[in-house]
Amino acid sequence: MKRLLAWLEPLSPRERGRGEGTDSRLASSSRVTEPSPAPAGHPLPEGEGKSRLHHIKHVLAAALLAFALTLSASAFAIDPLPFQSNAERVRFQHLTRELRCMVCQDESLLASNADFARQLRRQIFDMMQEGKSDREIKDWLVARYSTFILYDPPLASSTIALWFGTPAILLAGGIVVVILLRRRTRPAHAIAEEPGDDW
Amino acid sequence: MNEVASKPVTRFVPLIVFAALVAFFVVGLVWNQTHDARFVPSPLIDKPAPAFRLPRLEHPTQFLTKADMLGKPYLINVFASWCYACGDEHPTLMAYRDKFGIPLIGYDYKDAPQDARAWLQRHGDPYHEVITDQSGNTSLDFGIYGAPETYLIDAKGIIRYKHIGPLTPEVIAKDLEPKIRALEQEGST
Repeated sequence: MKRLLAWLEPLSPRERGRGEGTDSRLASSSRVTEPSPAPAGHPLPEGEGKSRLHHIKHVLAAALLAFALTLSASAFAIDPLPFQSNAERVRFQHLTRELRCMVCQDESLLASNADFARQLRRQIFDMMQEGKSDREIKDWLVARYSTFILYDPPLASSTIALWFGTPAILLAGGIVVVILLRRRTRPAHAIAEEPGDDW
Repeated sequence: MNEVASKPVTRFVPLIVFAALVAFFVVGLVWNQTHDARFVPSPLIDKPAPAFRLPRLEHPTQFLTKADMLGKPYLINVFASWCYACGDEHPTLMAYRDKFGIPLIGYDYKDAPQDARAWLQRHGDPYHEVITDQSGNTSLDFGIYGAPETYLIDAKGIIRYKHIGPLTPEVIAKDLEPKIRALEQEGST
């Protein structure tokens, strides 16, 4: 706990000011712009624990609030589309989660509140009503916005490294490990004679 | 193990692996510095422009269609009164509108016509014609996802070039101008 408190300290310049024995707010607030002293392992003054705890509660409350807001933000982003069934809604959410909102980059079409995303959500909804398959909807989007709109990159010559790079490196590493292990186990007596082997 | 480790080649393997990793990081960083992932090349390049039919800003009861524009190359510049970067681009368009040598069509994107009119009145109108896409429905077919964007469409109605973001004198000199001149060559032969 003490460690956590010490870690939290740089977040609170006012508290730090008190910890250092100054009670002037002016003095401590002017400190805010100064580089903070090394916080790690800073000795915790007696009697400060309670207010620190209070401070933590505030931080936690703020964090919870922020988290709740991010959740509700994505809820707001979903327009009231008149789905006919729950299955249809699930399919819609699954599909739009795999699509990139082109204007906000790191958000999906499902989560984004951008006008562009709202319009495409409507478009996708309409296409679903027309009985288009997921494949057809994706093809429609790719024809206009390129494969960049798909979060799941298709297998193409430009994405070979992306698809097979990691398995290839893993395989190479595995081969190296196997070779090293074989080398080590073969001259078993040699290793037994050298207990101080630092390998 | 000792004799393996002392072999010069094996000894340098970790260093080589490390150097390879560093190389990956450097290439990745440099690539990110020089490429903006937002500027996605349009898959519609060298494909027919979508058939559009949009009201004209000055005469909202009249429509401009793709068929009207067939026969000679033209530029479509996507703008909006709410678009900040369009204000940056605007002086460039004013300066170049007559130097392009081909019509410059303004595409008012998801904008109220009266706002667009006021914007053009305040800053000046660089366009030979302005069409309005208030709903943004046609913009989906063009693959427009923001403003400003600029399309070069040839006499047969094929999209030949697209620029995302504001046009600058550099972009015009380096990319757009040569493409327009090439189209003129095509047209004269």
